[in-house]
Amino acid sequence: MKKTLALVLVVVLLLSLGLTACKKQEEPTTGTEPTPTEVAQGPKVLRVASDEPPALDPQIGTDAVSIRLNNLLLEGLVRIHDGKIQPGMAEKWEISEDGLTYTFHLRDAKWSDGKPVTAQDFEYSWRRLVDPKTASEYAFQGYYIKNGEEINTGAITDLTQLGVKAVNEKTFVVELHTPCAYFLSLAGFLSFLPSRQDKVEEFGEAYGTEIEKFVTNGPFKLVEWKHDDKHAVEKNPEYWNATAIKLDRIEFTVVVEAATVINMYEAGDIDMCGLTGDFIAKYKAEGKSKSYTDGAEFYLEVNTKGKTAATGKVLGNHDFRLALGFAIDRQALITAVLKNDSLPALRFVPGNLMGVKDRFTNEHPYAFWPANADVAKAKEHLDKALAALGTTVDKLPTIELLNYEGDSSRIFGEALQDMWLKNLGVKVEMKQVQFKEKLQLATDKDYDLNFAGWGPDYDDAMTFVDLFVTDGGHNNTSWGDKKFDELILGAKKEADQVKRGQMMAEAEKILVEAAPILPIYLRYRNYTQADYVTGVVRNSIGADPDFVYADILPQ
Amino acid sequence: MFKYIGKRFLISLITIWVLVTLTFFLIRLLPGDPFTNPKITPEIKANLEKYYGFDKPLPVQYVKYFSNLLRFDFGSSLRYKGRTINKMLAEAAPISANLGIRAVIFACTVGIFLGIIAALNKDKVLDKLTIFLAIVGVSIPGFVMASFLQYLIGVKLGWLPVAKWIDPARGMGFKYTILPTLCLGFGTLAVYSRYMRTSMLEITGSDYIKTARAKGLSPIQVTIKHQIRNAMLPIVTILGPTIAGLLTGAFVIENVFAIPGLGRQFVISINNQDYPMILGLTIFYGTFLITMNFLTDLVYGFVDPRIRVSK
Repeated sequence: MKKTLALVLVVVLLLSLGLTACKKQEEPTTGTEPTPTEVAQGPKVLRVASDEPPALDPQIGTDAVSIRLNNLLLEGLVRIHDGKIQPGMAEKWEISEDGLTYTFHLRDAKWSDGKPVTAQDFEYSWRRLVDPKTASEYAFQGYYIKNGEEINTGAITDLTQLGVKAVNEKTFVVELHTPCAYFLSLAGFLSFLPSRQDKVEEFGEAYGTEIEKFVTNGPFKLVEWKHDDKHAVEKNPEYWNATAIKLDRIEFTVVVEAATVINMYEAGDIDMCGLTGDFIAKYKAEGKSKSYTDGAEFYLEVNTKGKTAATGKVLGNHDFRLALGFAIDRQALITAVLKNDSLPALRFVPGNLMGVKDRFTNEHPYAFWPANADVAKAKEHLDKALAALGTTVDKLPTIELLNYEGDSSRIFGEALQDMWLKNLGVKVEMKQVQFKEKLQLATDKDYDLNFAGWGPDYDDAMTFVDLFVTDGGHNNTSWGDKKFDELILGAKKEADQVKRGQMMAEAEKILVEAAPILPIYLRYRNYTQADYVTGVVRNSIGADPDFVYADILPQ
Repeated sequence: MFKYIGKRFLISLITIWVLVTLTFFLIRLLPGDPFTNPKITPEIKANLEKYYGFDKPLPVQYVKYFSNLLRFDFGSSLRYKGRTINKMLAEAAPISANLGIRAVIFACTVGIFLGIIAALNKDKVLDKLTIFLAIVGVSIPGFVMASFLQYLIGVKLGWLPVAKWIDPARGMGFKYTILPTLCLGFGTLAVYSRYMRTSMLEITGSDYIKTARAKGLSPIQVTIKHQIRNAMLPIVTILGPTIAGLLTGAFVIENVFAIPGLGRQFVISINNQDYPMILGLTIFYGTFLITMNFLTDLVYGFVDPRIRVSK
């Protein structure tokens, strides 16, 4: 019995080991490599390190790996490439005056099993996205469509009430419930890619889990899939734009450990890889390090009501929050801790998002936070805060910083702690927890400061600014501002794009200066690739990397 | 003997049931749930919970899970949508087993051999060398060694592949297994060599060895027939825990060498709170360990007649 008990303990230990040892999933890194002979002889094979796609069913998938692979395998009404909208299954489209009705005209195209791609396929797929029975995590993408939200939340049970209609085999009409400036770019997103009714019904939950249980209509075909190990795609000669596709084959090998990916690249097994830690400096020295932003902005959420009543009193003080913000040396965090090409966030909306004609941040220039710490200003605000609170620094309650797991996050948190202690004399404790637990604590407002990040859902400033409307689902700060809410709501209804942009810019200022969030940096990722790989586009929205038009140069 | 086996078998079943039940309820205590995601709304989450039956009371879910389990149906993964746990385990387990068996064989044979060499050369250079090797093996964690060897032998010297696993279809064979096996087995090898050495030396002075010598057996015969055979006993005892140790070590090694085994599934399922997969793996590992321990007891009985008799 003792031994069986011991065994139970061993298993429990195994489980707990797994729990404590679990890491945040490494960002999928990429790599490619043709052997020289392959390049010389013709077939252009690109070898890439990736991860196992969790769900190729476009209405079910949500993750970067599935998005990246489906970008090659499937094609929506439009294709998004390098931030631009290109015709896809639709060769042309019209938008009504009021911006509410989109009419797409489909081209002649075939599925991988030879059947024609029809408007009915899109009608079915888009209805399927918002159907509560599908239980799609990204159903909210369909809320832009008339009755999308009502159907998904059960207020309307008739699927045909959704604002999509296949007028005939080649004409697909979409009705939105409010004008949406970025709807075309959404139409190219994963959730709106087509799935095939007969196959979904045949395979049910297993649709998209094996090659033979999936049909595709994109520039590449899935030809090999050994789960958790590797998968490969080959050029689809039937694709309408096949002449634009240069690669014959892309091989994805499943490797998640960042160091292993770099080792494989250095050994010549793959031709592209993400760089981390000291490798960035090494490749930079050789002039081989490239970088791009994945669009993720990192910031501190301040719970203005605090984890406890005592901290709430302090964090609810506007000057105290400003003091915390000015005491942060954003540039130093990037240079000394992150050691990559990330940019200090001097405002909330990141610089990569589009405005009306130019980048949003170019159309509405603004900077509130300094790149380096402004200690004098920080102290000034601290003194004001302490006077208002009638206390001194050493009598402040201990504030807790909620942080991600892992060594690099710990070092980042420690640097923040150090800056606050040195510049203000404010003591902050750090608590590192697993990702899901952290989300839960933040949602429950069971924290003081939370180091958090947000990645864009679409190419528009709204994907950031509307996070912090009063009591919004993503607003964990307990902060709210009437004027801010009005501006956001107004911008969402505004058809005039210039006015809409101004409203968002004004709202952003209110948010940034009220400081329920303290922006820190816009993440850049560093990577390297072999000289003969071209045409791989790195994106902050949609498929990253985008291999569709990639090529291998003869050496 | 049969009564003993029957009793042990029953206890094993109860242990597995306790394991399933405890795990089932304990994983629900983890903060967050499989659908915790900053992007989704409460309504969408409700749709998901309904779809997977998580809206029902926990006891109802438990009964459903358990009745499925009795039909050996582990359910579907919440992370890899639509893939069944049965199939995922069936795909990953043989790979882990393959690596594990290689590591055990490597560790046992080389470890025991080194232990014998050390014992026969007590306090000489060879003995000191094996001590050094053992210290290195025990004190360097598997992942450090894996990263080091991967870089040195895979990248710098280019003698062996950096990562990945056997795939005959692509001409990937034995050479892919060398580094993972070495890294996984090395710690155990070190432990075995020390055990074997100590065990050999303990026996040297015992009466039956003296008797064997007195009967005029040659030193080689004494060593092989009497000393080694008896010295193996403690090794058999630690075989069960060794395999448990290798399993945990395999999580890291599989990760470093990108081997699509169970270790990968374990880490991913816990990160994503993929309940059915966590349960499936726990039951799988639990059953495996209980079986291994059971077998160890049987083998022990065969190797040492004294135990067989006393039972």
